[in-house]
Amino acid sequence: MGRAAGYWLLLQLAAVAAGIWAGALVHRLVST
Amino acid sequence: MHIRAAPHPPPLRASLWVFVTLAGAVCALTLLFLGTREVMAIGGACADGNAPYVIARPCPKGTFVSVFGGVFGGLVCVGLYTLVTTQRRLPALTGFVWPALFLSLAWNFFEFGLRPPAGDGPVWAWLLTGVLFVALGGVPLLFTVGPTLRAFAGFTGEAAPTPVRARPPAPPRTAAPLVGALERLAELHRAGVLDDAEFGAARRRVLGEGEEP
Repeated sequence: MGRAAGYWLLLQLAAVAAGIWAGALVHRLVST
Repeated sequence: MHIRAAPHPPPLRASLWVFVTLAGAVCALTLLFLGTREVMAIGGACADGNAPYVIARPCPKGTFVSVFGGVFGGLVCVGLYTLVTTQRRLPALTGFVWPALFLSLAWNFFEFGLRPPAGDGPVWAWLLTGVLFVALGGVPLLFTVGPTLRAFAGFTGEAAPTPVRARPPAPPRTAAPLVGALERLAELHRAGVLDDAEFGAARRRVLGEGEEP
């Protein structure tokens, strides 16, 4: 796997993690 | 593993778009997952709003935002994510969105089907729905993992090769202009306008112009 592929894979995995965190945060904010 | 340097620095704007749209899609999925859990925890159905009837089971606070925001926000974000990654020919996790949706909801159906909020026995309708959702999410997942991994592994960051435009072929060189020039020179020579030396030099020049450089 080249550096370009590694870059996009890490970026998108980070986006997935950020999305899960943001979803949990938004849900907590709107449900309390 | 073959490490190869990326030929170009990653584009900042594309990176931001990919990050924001994918994070938005996952955020929406998470909201939908958590929102449906709250509804299932009170029996699986609820109602909200002003209506000329008595609502027996009002929805938990934030359910509307979580469920509807999750569905429509997710559709928008997944659409934009697909657009960006397709246009830029980037490897993407789009194929995992559908399995993630159905498998996460299947988890809810299994969890609440086995341990229903009312406390009595398993809810078979939810368990059956869970099995259906596992099939709906799991089968596409089997066909998604390989192509997605190959798309990332084979990505080099290089733009698709553009076809090299071939040089247009040179027009066929015909002997007609050459013959005409030589005939005119010969006429001038015969008429005495050019002497032998001048005629020879002019003829060589005409013939020399006809040769390849």
